[in-house]
Amino acid sequence: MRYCSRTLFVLIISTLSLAAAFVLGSPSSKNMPLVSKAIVASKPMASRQILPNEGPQPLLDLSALTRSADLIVLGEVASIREDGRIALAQGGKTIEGQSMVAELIALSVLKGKLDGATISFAFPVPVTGSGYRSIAQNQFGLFFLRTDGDKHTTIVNPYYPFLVAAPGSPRLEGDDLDRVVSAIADLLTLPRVELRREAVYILDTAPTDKATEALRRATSDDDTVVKWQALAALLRRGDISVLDTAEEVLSHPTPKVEKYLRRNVAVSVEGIRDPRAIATLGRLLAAPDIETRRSSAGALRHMHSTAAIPALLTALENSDSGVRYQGVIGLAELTREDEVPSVELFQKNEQRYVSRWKQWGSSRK
Amino acid sequence: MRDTGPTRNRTGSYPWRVDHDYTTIVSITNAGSAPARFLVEIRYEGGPYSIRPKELKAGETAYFDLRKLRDEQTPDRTGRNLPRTLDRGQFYWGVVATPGGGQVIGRAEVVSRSARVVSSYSCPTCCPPTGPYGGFAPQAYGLSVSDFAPTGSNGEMLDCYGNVYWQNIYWYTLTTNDSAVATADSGTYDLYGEGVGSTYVVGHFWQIEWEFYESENGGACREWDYLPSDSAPVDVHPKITGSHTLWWFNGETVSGYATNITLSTSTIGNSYHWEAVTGGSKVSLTSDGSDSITLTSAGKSDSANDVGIQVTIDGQVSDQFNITVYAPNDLLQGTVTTTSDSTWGYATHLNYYIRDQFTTQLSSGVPVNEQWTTGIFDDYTGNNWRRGSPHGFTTVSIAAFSDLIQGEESNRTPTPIGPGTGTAVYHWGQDWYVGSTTPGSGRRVQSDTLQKYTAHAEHQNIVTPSP
Repeated sequence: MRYCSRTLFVLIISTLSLAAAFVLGSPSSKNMPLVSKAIVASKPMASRQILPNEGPQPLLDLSALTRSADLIVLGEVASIREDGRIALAQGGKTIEGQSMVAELIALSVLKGKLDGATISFAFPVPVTGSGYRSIAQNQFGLFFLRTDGDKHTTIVNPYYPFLVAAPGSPRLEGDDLDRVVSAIADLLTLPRVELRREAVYILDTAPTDKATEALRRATSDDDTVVKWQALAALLRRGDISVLDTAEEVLSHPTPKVEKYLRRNVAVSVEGIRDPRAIATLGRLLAAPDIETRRSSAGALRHMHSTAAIPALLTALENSDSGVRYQGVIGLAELTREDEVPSVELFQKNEQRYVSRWKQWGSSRK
Repeated sequence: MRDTGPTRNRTGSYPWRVDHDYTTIVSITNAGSAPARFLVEIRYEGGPYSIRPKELKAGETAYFDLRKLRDEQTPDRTGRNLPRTLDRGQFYWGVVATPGGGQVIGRAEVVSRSARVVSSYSCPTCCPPTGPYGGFAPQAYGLSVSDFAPTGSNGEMLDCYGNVYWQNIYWYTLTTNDSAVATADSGTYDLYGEGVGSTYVVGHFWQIEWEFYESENGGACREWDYLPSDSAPVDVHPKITGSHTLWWFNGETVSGYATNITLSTSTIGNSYHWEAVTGGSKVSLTSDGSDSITLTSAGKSDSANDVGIQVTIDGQVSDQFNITVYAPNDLLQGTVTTTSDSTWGYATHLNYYIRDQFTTQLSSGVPVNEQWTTGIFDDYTGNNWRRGSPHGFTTVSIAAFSDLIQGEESNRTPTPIGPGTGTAVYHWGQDWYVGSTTPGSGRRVQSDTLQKYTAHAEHQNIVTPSP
């Protein structure tokens, strides 16, 4: 009995809050967690605990997101309502959740066809923190939606139901991904630095020429985060047009570039596969920080090019064991050597492997 | 043995030069009506450079551009290149392994435009080389049922100047003593394993000797043909077939990754015994005693192919079948990005790539989870930030994930702010596992400290691998 009373109380308060939010159009409503808008159904549900996420989730993949969507709509969420409880499969388990329905006012359609100016779509909200991105009223963005045979529309990916986008009309040129990339790239022209930073983060996941062009433009941004994150993104996709700039900052670290940004550039070097970069990568094996040296050695290894052999032999002389391992395994893979040690075995008897490949290097001179 | 009577020399030796703009091109032509074989040796100080014997069809001509051979650094049969500075020497050729000697003629043209020189040589030497003298090399063969194995040979040729050089043997016939065990292809010189057992491979080849008779026609070569044979033992073993790759996730099964595999043999016998002869601690074998066995991973390989499996069938032991047991082993941290978040102040994405023990990224999606290893340690006195539960999920398509760490709601203490350095709020211990979505299950690959600030989050004190 006491339980029922409490439920009724929560129902009244929640309903009043939701109504107030709609009627008054509270400016804080878009920051309000969805839990506060919950309309409790007749059967009590486990209390929802929206906590900050501290868990793993998929990497954003703009190509896959675009490909999987039937509808990609640029617009603003006009309203959100609950639509009953659902069971969600997550991590091999079933968890309880709430189905929500959002009404989206469409400003532009980048993929698919929309009947009318609005569309309603469903999205799940688990009762416990899940890493799913929340959707709030007034949320503006690029929404990635899927429509089933019954014209029931849902989000494609609960982790990335929408992406930030510029409010103007996007250029509707090229294929679906080109249009999406253009809409994101337009953010780079906006004065709000956090939007430009987000744009680089998203464009990083789109391996297209248009995205590469936009990232190249971003390397001239006044904001150091935008500039260096864009440069790292270019390196990760194997674009060596910015390698000289990267070499400069990695060889001569400066306090002007924050340590984590420099580290991001360093680890991105491993994405390079162009043999024209071999000489630079060879020089970066002598860089002051370990991340740069390891990722340079990793890039040389993954090129699978005989032209990289001298640099891989140089890696054997490095002061870092991780770099020496990449040298050993890179040479072993190139020569199709049978005896390939794991990292642990290498560390136990490093001298044996390093000496062997040094000897091999001497014998081919 | 056959004496074919007197014949003209089927051999030649010419001076050549490629200094300045000189070029030398040697042509060898089979003017006869049957295929003929010849060898070439380019002689110079520090040489020779020996070209593997070639066969010429009737009417066919082979050309040798000495400058090209040198400049393109084309290796000879022993892997030797002509020195880049070499600009002259002697070109020797001779008919070999051609009963009757064939009708092979040679010519060398030396040309220099600047010196306006065109010289043509067609200098016969004494008699063609004799031989080959030799046989199978290696002198024993082992292969599995249904497998091929190439035979090899080693023969020596002797020219009229007393020079000895190598030439492989052209088998006139190639057979085995027991075709139920192994057969031989006289065209490709390959052995083929038919059934478990032992036999011999037997080959016959033409051995040709030349003798110079000064009194005949002002000097002629007389040919003597022999048909010697050689043999070598061949052992055919049971063969194991199956995958060479196994995965270990600390007892978990993972879709798309084989944590158990079945090996089998097509050899029929009365008794079968399977055994892990190396790396036995990394696999467990079940259902011994039949023509197949199931291997389940029990640990990871220390080096590639370090688990060796053999089957013994009625006393006959198979070749070792090597397997590598791969395992997720470490995390490679990619880029770290912090963006602003309207609800939580900030969202830090720490990207990670999951690698095996050879630091190669796993090839497809895999379950991953985190586990808290300590309670919360406050850095900001009086903070009321919360900690969520550890999560697990299965990566899609690729073995990579992003650890998303958000700040807190704006009504909490301290107030989260947009991306930046910020002030330390609290931290705790964290482990990462691969192979399960259940926190704490699977193979542990990393331990770290999850540190949250008011404006971003970090993984600190990272230890990976973390077995």
